[in-house]
Amino acid sequence: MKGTHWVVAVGLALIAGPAQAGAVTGDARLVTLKNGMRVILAPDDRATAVDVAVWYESGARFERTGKTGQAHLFEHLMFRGSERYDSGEHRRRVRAEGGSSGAYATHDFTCFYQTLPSDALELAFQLEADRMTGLELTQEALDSERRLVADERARQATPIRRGLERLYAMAWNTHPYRGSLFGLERDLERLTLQDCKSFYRARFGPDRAVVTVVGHFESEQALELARRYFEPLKPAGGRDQALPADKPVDAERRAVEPGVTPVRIVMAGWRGPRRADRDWPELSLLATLLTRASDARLTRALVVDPPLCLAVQGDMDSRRDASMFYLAASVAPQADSAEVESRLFGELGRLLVEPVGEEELERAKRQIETAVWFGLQTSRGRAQALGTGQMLAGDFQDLERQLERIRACTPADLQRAARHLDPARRNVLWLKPSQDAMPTSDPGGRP
Amino acid sequence: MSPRARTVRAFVAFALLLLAPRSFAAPPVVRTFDNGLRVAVWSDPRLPVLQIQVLVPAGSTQEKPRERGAARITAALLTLGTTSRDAAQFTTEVERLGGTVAASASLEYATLSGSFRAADLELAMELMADATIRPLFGDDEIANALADALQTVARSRQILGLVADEHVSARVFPGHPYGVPELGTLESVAGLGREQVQGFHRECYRPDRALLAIAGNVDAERVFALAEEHFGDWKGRARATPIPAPGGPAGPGIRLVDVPGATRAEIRLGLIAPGRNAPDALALDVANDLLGIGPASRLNAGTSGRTLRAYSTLALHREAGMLVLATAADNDSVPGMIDRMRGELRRFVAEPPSEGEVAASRRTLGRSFPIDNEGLISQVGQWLSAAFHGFSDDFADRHPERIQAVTVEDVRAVAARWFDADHAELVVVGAASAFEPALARMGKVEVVPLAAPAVQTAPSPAMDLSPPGVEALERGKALAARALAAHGGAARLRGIKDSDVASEVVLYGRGQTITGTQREQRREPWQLRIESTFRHVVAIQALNGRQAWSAAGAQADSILDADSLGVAEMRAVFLGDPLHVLLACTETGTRLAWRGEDEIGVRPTDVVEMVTAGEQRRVLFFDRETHHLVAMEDNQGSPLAGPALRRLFGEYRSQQGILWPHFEERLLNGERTLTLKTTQVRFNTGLAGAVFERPGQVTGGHRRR
Repeated sequence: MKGTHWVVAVGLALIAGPAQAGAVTGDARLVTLKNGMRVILAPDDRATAVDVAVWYESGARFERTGKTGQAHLFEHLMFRGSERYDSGEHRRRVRAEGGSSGAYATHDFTCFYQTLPSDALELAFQLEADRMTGLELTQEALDSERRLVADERARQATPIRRGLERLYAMAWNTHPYRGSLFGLERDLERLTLQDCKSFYRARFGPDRAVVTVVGHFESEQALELARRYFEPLKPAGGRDQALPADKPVDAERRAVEPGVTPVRIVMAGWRGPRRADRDWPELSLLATLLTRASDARLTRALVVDPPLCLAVQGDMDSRRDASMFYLAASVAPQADSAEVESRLFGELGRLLVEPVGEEELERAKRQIETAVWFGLQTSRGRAQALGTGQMLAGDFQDLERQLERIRACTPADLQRAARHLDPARRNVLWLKPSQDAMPTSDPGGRP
Repeated sequence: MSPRARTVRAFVAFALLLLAPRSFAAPPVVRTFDNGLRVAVWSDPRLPVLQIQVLVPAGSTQEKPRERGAARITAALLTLGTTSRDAAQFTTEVERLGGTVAASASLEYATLSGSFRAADLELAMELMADATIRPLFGDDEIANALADALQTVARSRQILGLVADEHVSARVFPGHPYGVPELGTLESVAGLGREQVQGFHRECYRPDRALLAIAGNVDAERVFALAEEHFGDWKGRARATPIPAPGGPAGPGIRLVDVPGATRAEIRLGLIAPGRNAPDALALDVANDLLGIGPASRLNAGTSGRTLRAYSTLALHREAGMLVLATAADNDSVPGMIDRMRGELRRFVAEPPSEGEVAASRRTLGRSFPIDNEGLISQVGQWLSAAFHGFSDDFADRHPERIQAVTVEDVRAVAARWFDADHAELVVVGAASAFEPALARMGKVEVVPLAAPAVQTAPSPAMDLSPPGVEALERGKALAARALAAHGGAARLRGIKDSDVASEVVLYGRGQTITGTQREQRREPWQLRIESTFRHVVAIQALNGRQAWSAAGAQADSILDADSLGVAEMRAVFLGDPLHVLLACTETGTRLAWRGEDEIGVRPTDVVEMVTAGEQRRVLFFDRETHHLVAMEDNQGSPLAGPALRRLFGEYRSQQGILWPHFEERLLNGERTLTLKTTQVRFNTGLAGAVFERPGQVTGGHRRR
């Protein structure tokens, strides 16, 4: 009888209704398998699909000197087949079920995902488990993907992306964040099949992975599938060595990069706290407040009156060990560079003495919230939130906490966070058209 | 598994049955308002957000010939201010809510989309209604939008894939709205102004065929009440230019768009297809997937193991559709690629897909549909598109099952009916010198330069510089004679020896106006005095035979003499009043040619080009009913060649037997510059010559032009 009452109570609880409206993570929970793999399950009975993603601790930060570019290379290599599946067969099988798949690499992790109808859940587990330890790496695949990566590097080199890469190179001395995700061309050229196999063995085991399952599925079934397909896989083992602390920046660094943009662009970047740390959400809010409205502070100061710039943007780049707060402005042809810098940095200085107004703060909060909520409409979007939280902050509920802190943020909190934007610690980069080419600082970006 | 775990598992499964997932995109609650607006609402409590979308059948297919490009520009202007908020205020209010609003237009309709927090429902609804119904069309905003549109068209000419897409549409749909580029052409966009853009909004943005969709964490009844409050007063019936069924491609033909020096070419094979509502539509979706979408499709998989890297697209509009096979290739591969693409089309018919292939495609398409449309924005968009095409409200929910009902026989039948490789229109955009001979072996090749628009839009009658035929000349002469008669007759007009016209003047510019007065006195021959007063500052321009002078200032006491060019300009002004223009029609050596029909305001007019013996060209607009001269225009034959100055005449009244306009509006490139409201007109008052004589002292030199 007691068991029956218990079952009825559980049933009623289940019938009670969907997760509390507004909650980011809903009923999500994390289960750790015996081999160290972490599985995050986030069911949503109103979803129309299930998203299964595997997040590997195999980002560029784990590359060794001289072997850069592998993380991004593996974004492609993981689709080149195994003993069981031909090259490209992963995508074809997912598509045959009506699903879509993709992958991307960052400095901290690579993510491989598929969104499928719920009844194809087991296929996702089969495919991911297969390539987690059974990938077939061949010289032919390596050579082919190496060429494609070179093409991709050229295509994706927008001025702002190149600028951000350069800022990271300037802002860090030794940390792997200073390198490009694409790696150095000479490293890629010299990469051997053995190098790739070593990287694969070290970074792609189940103990290096987090799996997110989000959408319309039954939790117990998913857990059972995880135990069946992932738990028997042998862990990669080993421990990551802690990276030595990077010397803090104590003086402004400046550089000029010619010939990469049709108009001048000025970028400024500061090393910032880790995503999990205090002030990260405040700085993220500050970037929105400064740039993402037609009368945002920097927009007014640089684009509207006077119209020194064509556009201004800013963000808090999100990484595990540290982040970068950056601003970028495309400069009008007739504008004076010194005046642009003066107004740009003048506005930041004003923050320290003059708290932001309540109205502009509330507007920035609403902008962030609305964007977050709309990003969570799909199973893919929710998986993205859970997975990045886990990989960057060690907490799949990280987005929920960020939102709470953003909501609670006061003008005083923003002023405190703004102290990270110290002129003595900033990195300033000018991107100039080729006819304005000037001698640049050394490739490391040191003045 | 323990008994407890088994019980939990069983109960979870049972509970999930009870909570059976809502069928994908459960149909909304739909109501039709008295003004014809259809409103659909979905309540979804999962996230505290709200999506509002308005669809208006105001796409490029509704553009009149002289409005090409207006649909996109009008849509872009919706978010740039309303009659109650200027552009900055509108943007600020949306941003203050943390929301976003965007508008766009395509071939068949325009949409305005807003994303907001659910808590801001009321304000959001008000903003969306204001933007849809009452856009501001500010001077600066129109000017910027037109400039942006011109830049967009110019830039699109550099993207060879877009060029290829435009040309293949033009070939598949010759002379049909579906074949006209949505962006318009440089010529057509350069000819757009406030009149066309505002006119397009006035005529096409009406509720009777519009759709409003709202989804999010909202209460449906509250939404309907707010929709009624904010959209209920929206009135009128939209322009509903019927889109005829296309006549079919002119070809098959080969159009080669020459890009000298290009090393790669864009290739398109275009075929006409049925419309979205046709019985063949779903089977065609499946056939297209098998032909050129999926990784295992015929075009992708290639023949003999070679990968074509080609793909196909299927666009199904209301009246017809188009299937396009597309790829890009290095120059030396172009002929081979064309052969392989045509070969795959033929093979699809000769060796049609198997039952297994069709089943696999059905499965993919049916099962991917809910995934591709999982979010609110997609679901709302799906309903709007379905409703526009006349499908039922549960279209999205039932679409997967309808796809599953497509049989292998259906697919084979549509392929046999529509995949006609021998009649496909071929477009290649690349270096003609590299492969024109090879293409010539395939058929007749039409080579056009890259700068040539895909569709030659006929010039507006006012811009037509082509040599007129005999009929046009006769008709022009007859129309001018009728106009002369309507205005009092040649004899009476010639009897006017002097005129004295006083007017109230308003100058317009950058959102501001200045009012003043003007007096225009004429005396035959070649004597003219125009005196204008604005804010106590008097300006005089005068012509006295072979001399001309001007004066300005509070006392009009600083006088400048005109040089010969200045005199010529004043003589042209002398001849520029309606009376002299009409009399010029009777002079020997004046050529009058009928150029077509147009509308001035809502009045149909005959357009007559007048070229005098002195090669002065002017375009006259005669009301088709009254024969009054309702407008005249000076232009260079193309909006790209120079400005167009148009003068509109109205409020005609008889004065001493002469019909004279008591209102005039002047437009420069479609933008109003001034209006004149006549307060007094007198003829033959015996004006003295002294009126036109240059007063005493000269300061400065010749008048600057």
